[in-house]
Amino acid sequence: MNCNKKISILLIALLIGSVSYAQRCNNFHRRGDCKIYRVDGFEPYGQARSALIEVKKPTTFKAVFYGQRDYKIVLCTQYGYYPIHYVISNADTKEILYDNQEDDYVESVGFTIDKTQNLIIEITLMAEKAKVKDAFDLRVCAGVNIYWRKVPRMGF
Amino acid sequence: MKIKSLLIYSLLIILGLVQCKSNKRSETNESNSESTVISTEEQVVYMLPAPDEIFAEIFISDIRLDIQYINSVDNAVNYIDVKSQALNLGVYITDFAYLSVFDNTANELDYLKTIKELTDKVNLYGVVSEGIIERINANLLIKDSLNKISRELYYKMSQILENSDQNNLLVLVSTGAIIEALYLAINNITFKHSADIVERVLEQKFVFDNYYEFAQQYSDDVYVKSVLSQLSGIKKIFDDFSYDETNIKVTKDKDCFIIIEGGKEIIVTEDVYLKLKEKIIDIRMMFVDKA
Repeated sequence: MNCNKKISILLIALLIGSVSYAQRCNNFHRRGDCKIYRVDGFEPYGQARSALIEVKKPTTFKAVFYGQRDYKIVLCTQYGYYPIHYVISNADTKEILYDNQEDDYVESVGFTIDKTQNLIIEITLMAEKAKVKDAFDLRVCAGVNIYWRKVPRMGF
Repeated sequence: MKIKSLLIYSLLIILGLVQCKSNKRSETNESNSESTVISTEEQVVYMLPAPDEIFAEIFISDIRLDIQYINSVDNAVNYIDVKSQALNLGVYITDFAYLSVFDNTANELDYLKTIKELTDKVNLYGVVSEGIIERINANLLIKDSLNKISRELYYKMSQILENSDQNNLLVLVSTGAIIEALYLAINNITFKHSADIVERVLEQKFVFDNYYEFAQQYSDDVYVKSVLSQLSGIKKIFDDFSYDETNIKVTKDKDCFIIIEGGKEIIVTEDVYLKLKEKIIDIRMMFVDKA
């Protein structure tokens, strides 16, 4: 292989690498840790997302949660960056509705909601055991997967 | 030969630099698509629903939907500037989702063809691939599959726009999509429908608020700025809603399932409903009427 070809391949590899940097978290929330295996009538909610986020810095996800629905939120990140600390609060009043610290940083939570509201899910990757070598290691994928089902009407 | 090689390397290096710059810029942006690079300053991800998810909240089985409200594919030739092409791309994506509710499936391929033409016009090649067209052909009679495909299409497009650092274009497409969804919802429902359904329409205020906050981040773009100005009337009506408010109460049941009770409930009045309907129809006409 001549020198020109080698340089071309190197440059093309660099280009592909820089594109994939931005795309490496696509659909992360649909993989392994973010899935639930007991469905119980829950369906995936389209507002589930993934993002490339910074370790130890809070990131806010904001979404509408409709009333008279049950939801399950499952959070996941790359191996070695757990535990994940998250706090769910009302976007208008900022009132804290749930903090997973009280449940030893459990990665999923189920809740039923009475009235439609915007909720904020503030996530911090605590990465207690992560060995950070460079800046690249400080940015990792995180997924917020959401499942929902209608609350059955009570009575006859 | 040497000059030719030098030119090729220069081009590749420039492309590489542009790409690096693009990635760096996207780190300071926020997005609603499925994957996002978050900035250190803002760190907010807006999770916005696809049009079919808005419909799923509003259109229950006893509502008779009318096909006449969708934007005709014949209008597509009139959209010759980027703003109207992107806005109406969103409109047609919503119409496609709406069509998947109907048994009459004859129009769906025409709408998909129009979506493909508009995606090409705004340089979004490959969003509507041959694979998607084949899947739609194979699933024309299966409503659930078409719904799923329409949602995939919307999120795939959002992802491509975000990853290519074109959030301003994403705002325009999303604007067209959300306005068309509100337009179709509000035209298929009269105030005489049950209070629950009317309330579901008004509750789209929460989706609109999130969308509006997302769009405001790109208000330095001239098209986004003009669209935000057009939407300010709807925003004002949503902001003026009155509420019945009760304290939020959070409890846990024996299975550790959290129960969130209370909060704000929109007070539904015919006056508010009609004002919103009028404004949405006005804005939607502005978007689609280019003849």
